[in-house]
Amino acid sequence: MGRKKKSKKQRKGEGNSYESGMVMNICDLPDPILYHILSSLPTKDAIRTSVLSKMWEHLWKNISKIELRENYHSYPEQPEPVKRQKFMDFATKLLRDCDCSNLKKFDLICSVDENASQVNQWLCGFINPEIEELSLHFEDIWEPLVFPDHLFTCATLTQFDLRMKHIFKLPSSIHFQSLRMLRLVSVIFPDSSSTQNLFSGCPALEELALIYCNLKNVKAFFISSPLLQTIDIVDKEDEEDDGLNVSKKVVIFGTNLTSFNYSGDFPNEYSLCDSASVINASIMVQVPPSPNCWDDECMIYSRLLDLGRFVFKLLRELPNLEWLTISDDFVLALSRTRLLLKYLPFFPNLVELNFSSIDESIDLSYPGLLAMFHNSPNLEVIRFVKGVFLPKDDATCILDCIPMCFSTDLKLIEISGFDGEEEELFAIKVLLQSASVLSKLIIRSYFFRYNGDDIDRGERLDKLHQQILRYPRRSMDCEIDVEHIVIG
Amino acid sequence: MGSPVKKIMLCSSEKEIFSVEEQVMVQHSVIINNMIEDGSYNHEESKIPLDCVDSKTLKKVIDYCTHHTHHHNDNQEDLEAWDAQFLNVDSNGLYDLLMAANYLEIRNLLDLIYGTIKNMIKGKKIDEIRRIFNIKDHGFTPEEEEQNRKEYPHFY
Repeated sequence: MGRKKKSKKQRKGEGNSYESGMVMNICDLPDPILYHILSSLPTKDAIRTSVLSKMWEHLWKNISKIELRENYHSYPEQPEPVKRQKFMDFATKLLRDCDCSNLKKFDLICSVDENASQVNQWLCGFINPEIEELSLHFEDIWEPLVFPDHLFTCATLTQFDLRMKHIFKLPSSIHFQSLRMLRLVSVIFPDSSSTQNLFSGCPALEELALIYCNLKNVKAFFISSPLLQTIDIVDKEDEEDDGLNVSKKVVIFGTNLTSFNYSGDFPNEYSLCDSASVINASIMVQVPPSPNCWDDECMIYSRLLDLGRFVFKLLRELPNLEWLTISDDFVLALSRTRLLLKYLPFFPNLVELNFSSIDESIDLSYPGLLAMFHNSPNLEVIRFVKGVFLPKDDATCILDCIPMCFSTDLKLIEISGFDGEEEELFAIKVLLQSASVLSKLIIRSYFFRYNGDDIDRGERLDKLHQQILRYPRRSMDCEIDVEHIVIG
Repeated sequence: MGSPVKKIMLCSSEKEIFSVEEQVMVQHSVIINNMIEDGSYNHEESKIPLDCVDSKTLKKVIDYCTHHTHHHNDNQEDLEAWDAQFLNVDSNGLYDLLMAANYLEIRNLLDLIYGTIKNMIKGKKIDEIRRIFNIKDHGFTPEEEEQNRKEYPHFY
């Protein structure tokens, strides 16, 4: 196929002194560049170019990236079963026509239903032994999917994202030589030894996310990838759980771990080992609002004790934290376990401490909260993401024994979700009275436009701002901002 | 400080010589960076011949590298606006730029051009893409073209 065919006419009058006299067009680009462009397009657009010109007819078959998404592949005018059939036909035809040996990146979102055998064929066809990035999201699985064996020994795979609420069948031999990012969502692990094989078979892993994974078939496993830097865990109690399942143990050896993020109601016992390298952590634990125990004070207390121990064990392994985000239940649990509180470790490097939670603001007089302040002598920033309050106008909780950081390092306090309640003002008053080097206090108030009270509320906030400005301040140069943020 | 800015000479296909700050090209072009690092460029007498890049294109490439070296701290919006203005060329101009960026291995310029070409194709019907890229001779026989139009009416 002659590529240098376009005449000079096209460029007449452009004043270009192209010596060769050849003028080429975008269609005449070298193949590698064309493949690159085609691969960057959504798969549908890439396939469409097969009828653009004779020269492009087969080009698309060498694309290095395919994304097949059932939801996006919609024919809005047609009923569901027809749409479904069209998607199935499209994917099967694509597998037949495309040269999958060039694929580097494969992205599939679909429901499986009764088509497990077809989906298994796609997995086998699209996932070549040199694949680099894989993102699979399956819904409605009735029987286990079968992944090709060569996937589990793939030396080129760097990213693997799998989302399916079903058993992940694993072969006996697993070695992902280059896998840097592994993200498993809702996956049910098959048994202890395969699960251990999986995590032992990722020597290059840097990022790991285990989101709503189900450990019911597992007793324990450990994660010890030497290069692991970031780990994200979201762990929720299984809603189908009969309550008899015992907590499973997962030990993370984090010699190079820098970031540890946990959120959930700790149905399983994740613990850290050798993790002094972690500088950034988020521990968003909650006590589950289980219907069996919510009216039973004793039960809640026992759960809080468990939570306290869980949190305490994690904190003990994170001595070099610089940024920490914790939940209200975390503080509550620490507050209830006074014995543990006495042994709360010090965080000499901690500069930023954020309190976040689902929707509750936090009680400034909690012993757990004050202990965190006392044990973080170099704290510079405190953020109350969902607000802060003090039940009564009584500053003794802090003023009786002011945490060191309040006198030496604490520069910035941010309070978000401010509603202007009296108890919130008590908390602000105490913070201003106790922080002697504070340079800025930011108070943010959110409200929704549809409430239609923006004018009244704006005026009210201005008044509160004036009132707060009159509070006695330990730090004379402290700036106080009240921000009014409209949502919607 | 105070020492004169180190320059290198680039020579276009028309043998026109362009003098550019060394740092500007080293930062952007993998090829030139390698030439400086391995010592194959002699500051006294060398000039780098770029036989497949014409003067007009080379000037644009240098503009791009210079702007992105001196304005890399600008806010994202300003940089994007500048890039959009920079790539406001016809498809032949875009072709020349792409080939030059590919030859000199200027990663961010390549990505910018790839993105532009991608947006010229993405979500568009065949007739529109043909118009944008001025494809008059698609090479299909009238029968093939008719067959395609019949089989994939939603493509056109």
